[in-house]
Amino acid sequence: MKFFTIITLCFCVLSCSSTRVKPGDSSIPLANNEGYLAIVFDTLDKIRNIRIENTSKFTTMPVGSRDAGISLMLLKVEEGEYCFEGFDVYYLEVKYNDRGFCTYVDAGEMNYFGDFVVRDPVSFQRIFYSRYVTLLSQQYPELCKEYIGRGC
Amino acid sequence: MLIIKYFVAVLVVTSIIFAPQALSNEQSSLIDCEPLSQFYAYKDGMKSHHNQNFSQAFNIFCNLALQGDDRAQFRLAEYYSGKYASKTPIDLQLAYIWSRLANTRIYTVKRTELYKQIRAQLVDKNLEVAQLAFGSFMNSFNTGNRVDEPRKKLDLKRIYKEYHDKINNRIYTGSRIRGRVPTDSLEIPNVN
Repeated sequence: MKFFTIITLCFCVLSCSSTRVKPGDSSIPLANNEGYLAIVFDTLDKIRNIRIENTSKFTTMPVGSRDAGISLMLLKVEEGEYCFEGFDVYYLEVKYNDRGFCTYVDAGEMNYFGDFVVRDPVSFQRIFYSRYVTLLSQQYPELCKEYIGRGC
Repeated sequence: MLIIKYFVAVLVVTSIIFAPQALSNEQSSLIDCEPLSQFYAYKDGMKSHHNQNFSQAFNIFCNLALQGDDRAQFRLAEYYSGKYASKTPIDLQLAYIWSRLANTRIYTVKRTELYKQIRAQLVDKNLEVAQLAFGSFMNSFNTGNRVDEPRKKLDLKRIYKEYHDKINNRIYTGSRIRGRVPTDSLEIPNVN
């Protein structure tokens, strides 16, 4: 049982190539090949089991769930292209077979993915930069001043 | 009649004074990017950049910048500013234009710093020309786009046909619509 637990933990550590940055916590420094990925979720329903794929390394990382409403998620990831693989909403499993919504994460930058909008079962991506800056300045004021500047 | 002549004269003089000065032939030729044999996304440009294939990266960013990709516009501004001197052509006026355009809708500290740094290096007439030319660029080129996929042309005829077939095959049931007749056939516009 102990052996099984250790093996499971090892797999978890190896597969997790991202770190979720909690609001108010800007103390985690970026490594040379890392950047921030900021995603604003705009959904009327709770979405679960959100998965994002690193298309350069073909690894999938689960990023958790989001309650209904507008919320900002900040991830610290390696440089590369990231695409939405899918998520669950109610009893539906949404899966993007042909490259879901994607963006490239530049190292040393605060990369804005965009607003990921879910209107069950339709989903789309849009740019709403001013609202993103407002959310970032509220939840991550130091990072906002460091990377965005104006409006923080 | 005199008023009309006066109005035309004012219009002509104003257009001469405020018309943006054209960039030189050399500068105009630098905006013309080499056509690419296939579609290259922003990530391909970054890959070439990291592999130190700066001429390929420059060309990819140039093509994407013309399509309104703000990330590519910022990279192009870096190249034109001489950050990678001896690898790509240096042109401070074009660097000014692209850095200012990239920082318009999607603004960041890095982009603002680059813009200010380039602006500080431009003086007098060069700055004036660049500022005037920026106005033309704003009218001609978009910014704030993300070009990660090739643009697909919509087959409007097929889409209209699918919609038309759905409308025609709709089954009407229910007492509320008793006595109603289905809608007339939908005319598909000629989209040639």
